Amino acid sequence: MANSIILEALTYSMLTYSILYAKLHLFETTKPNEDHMGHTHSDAQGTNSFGTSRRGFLAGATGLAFYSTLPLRAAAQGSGPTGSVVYGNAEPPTSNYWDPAAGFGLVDEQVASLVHDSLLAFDADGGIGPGLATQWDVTSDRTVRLTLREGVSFHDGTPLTAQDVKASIDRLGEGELAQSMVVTPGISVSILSPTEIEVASPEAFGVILSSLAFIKILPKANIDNPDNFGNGAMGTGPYRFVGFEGNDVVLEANEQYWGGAPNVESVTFRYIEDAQARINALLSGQVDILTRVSPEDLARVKGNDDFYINTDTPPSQIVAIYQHNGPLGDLKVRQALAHAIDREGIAASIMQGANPVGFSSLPTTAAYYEELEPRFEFNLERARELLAESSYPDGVTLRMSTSTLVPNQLEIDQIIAASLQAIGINVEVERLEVGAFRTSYNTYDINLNTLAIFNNDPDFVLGLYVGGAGEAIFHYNDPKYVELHAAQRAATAENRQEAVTAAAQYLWDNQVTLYLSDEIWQFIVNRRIEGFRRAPVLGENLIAQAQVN
Amino acid sequence: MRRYLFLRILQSIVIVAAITVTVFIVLRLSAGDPARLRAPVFASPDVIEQYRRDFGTDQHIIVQLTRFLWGAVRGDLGTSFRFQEPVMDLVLVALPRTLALAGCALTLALGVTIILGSLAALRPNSIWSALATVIATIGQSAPVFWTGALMVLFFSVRLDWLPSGGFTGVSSLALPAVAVALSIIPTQMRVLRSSMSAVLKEDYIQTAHAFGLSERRITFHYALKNASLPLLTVIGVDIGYLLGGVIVAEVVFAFPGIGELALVALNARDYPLVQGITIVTASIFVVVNLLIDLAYSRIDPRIRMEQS
Repeated sequence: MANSIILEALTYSMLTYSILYAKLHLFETTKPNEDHMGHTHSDAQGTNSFGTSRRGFLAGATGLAFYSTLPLRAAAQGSGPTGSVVYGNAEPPTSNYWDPAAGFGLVDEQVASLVHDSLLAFDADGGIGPGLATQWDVTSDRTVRLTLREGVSFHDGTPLTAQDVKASIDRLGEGELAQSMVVTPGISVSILSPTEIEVASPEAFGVILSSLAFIKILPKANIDNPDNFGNGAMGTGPYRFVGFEGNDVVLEANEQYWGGAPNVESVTFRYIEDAQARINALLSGQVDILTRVSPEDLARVKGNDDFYINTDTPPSQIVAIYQHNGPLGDLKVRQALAHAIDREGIAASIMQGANPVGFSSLPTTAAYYEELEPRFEFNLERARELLAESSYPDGVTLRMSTSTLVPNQLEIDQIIAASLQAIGINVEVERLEVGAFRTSYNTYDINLNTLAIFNNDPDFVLGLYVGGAGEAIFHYNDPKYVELHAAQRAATAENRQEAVTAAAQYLWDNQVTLYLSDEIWQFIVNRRIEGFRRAPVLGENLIAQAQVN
Repeated sequence: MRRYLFLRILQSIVIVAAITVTVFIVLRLSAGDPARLRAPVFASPDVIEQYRRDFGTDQHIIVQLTRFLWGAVRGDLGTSFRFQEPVMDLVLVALPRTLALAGCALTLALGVTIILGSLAALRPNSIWSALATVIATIGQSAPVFWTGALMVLFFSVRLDWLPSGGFTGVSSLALPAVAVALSIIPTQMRVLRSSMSAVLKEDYIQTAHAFGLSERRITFHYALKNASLPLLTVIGVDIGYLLGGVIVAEVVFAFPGIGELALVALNARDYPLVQGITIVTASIFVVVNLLIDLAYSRIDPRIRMEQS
């Protein structure tokens, strides 16, 4: 008996020792006195791509008529597709129903960006170039004429026709689909000849080109018979859909692609639910690319020469969403909050400096972003003054919900709650499971969320504050802003900057919501994938150009 | 015996039905709207309403329950909200993997338990007894998520011998099976060890010795048969744990089995899928326990006598 007690005690101490061992040795992948971070960054060419990104975008948008047959997604001429790339994602596709217009899921968009083509396409700098259209001509503030590429077929061999293009765009104009929000209601296509079409919007639509670079062209047969979307994705893109089984969506190279066969033969998007399992899969070589990683993941590969970091991000921001039907409907309260929260401090400490802090209602990586005045700097004195001028001079209680949707959400929310406490605003924090949080966020006064731009144009986020979306997200409806939003949507390339800034300035002055910081999407890439780049959109449409060693 | 069997089957059906209805109601009481979770944060109210109609969650709960039960009776578990695929198809892909994992883990655990447990009972002061204590203590005190993570770090990331996760073939089963086996060994081992020491003191064992039978034959043939009765009960409980409870192991090893599927379904408030998984696993659990009860009477004639 005594023996076995001693034995158990010994075993426990062994366990304790192995915990220490694991902490000291296994989790530490860094070799001492080596730091390749700078090196890895310059390899990825991601850090300084934002400036060029905006310029590239403007250059694309201002070219009123532009002719080229050189596709943006063309692969280098090589010996045909080789090798495979496996992505590790923190989420699975939204459904096994492959209609890209039905949702905005990350994985859905990754798959759609490779299986489908758009009339126009984004390059790595966010510039717009040819896609299924070889030529385009903006003929008025509401019409574009396009020439369709000839000899393009869907993966089942059916030739692409103007009818397919018309069906794909007209359905969004009808407004029943999630992605209808990237176009003006009632937008439609007229077929002028088998290769000539005109896209017409009932109202001025200055950002029509970036929408056309986002909308996926689908077979009319599937649109007429939506059950087909359950059988897999069918498009004209560089990759064909092989299957979705277990946690993997598998695509394979379309060697007949009109832009030339892709370099990479097979692409897999794998869902791995657990963060530890995800980074372990990367470190053990089961996965080549981890998408949208956390600061903790970055720390695990710091100094590890086998990986590099890519930061080609879609314009994306972390916001604290306000509900305007409560105390936060008061302008002075909102401005007080802006002065009470140390945004730069949060970005530097909790976010470990990964996310820039902007001085506008747009993410700093968005096209047309400009720093605005006033800066609403961190100033508790000023915050208290503003609160005293509001309808709640004696303070107020705000209800906040928190969860684990945004990276480090719990920590950030703690700081926000404590900061508001300091100026006399009481915050009741409720911790919810992610599903409950996402469902009920707009029944709380304040909570964190992320907003990303899907079509690389600020119109997307500016559009969230009007109509049904504005009502649903913020309980916000301001006729003055509705006008400003419509004006920037209608503006042509020459006066667009001014119009976007006016709309962004209005949101910023009124602090419609709390613009905490950007959210830079960081990807960790195994060095065997050479030349990995991303366009500033959600999808992975440039993977065809990478090279697997 | 036939009457007993009939009653037990009837009882099993009632249990599964009760579990099903309870899960159905509890799911709908929990916060979270599947339509809102399917749609993006900024979806317009029309889009969300459309999803509600598609899912049928705009109907009264009684209507939903009736529809679901009527379908379930005909073997149709509905269509998953999350995947837009028949629930049955999804379960039939994931279940064999979990069964393979559970089978491997159980076999491994039983092998270790029977050999080490018997030896430990036979020779209480030997190295085998010490080994049994060490394994039982580790298994008891180290949680699966920890031993699992440690094994991945060592065997996959460090040594690169085995895949860190996913399901790519037999090699994918090795690490999770060991981790899960380690967690079920302690109870099995303790139960077998104590019942074995009790049985070894029985008169008939003395008699067997007197007949000059070999010690191995006495222990692993005559004693084990009687000592394994309590072990059978533990195995029944373990199978339930293995079917539903390997969620943790499946998450740590990114193993695409029924546990991980259940987690995705819960996060998305995918009611039909959660219900389907519950019905299937509950049925298996109930059937296995029924079989174990029947096995009792095969192994121990005394139980057969009482029943008849």
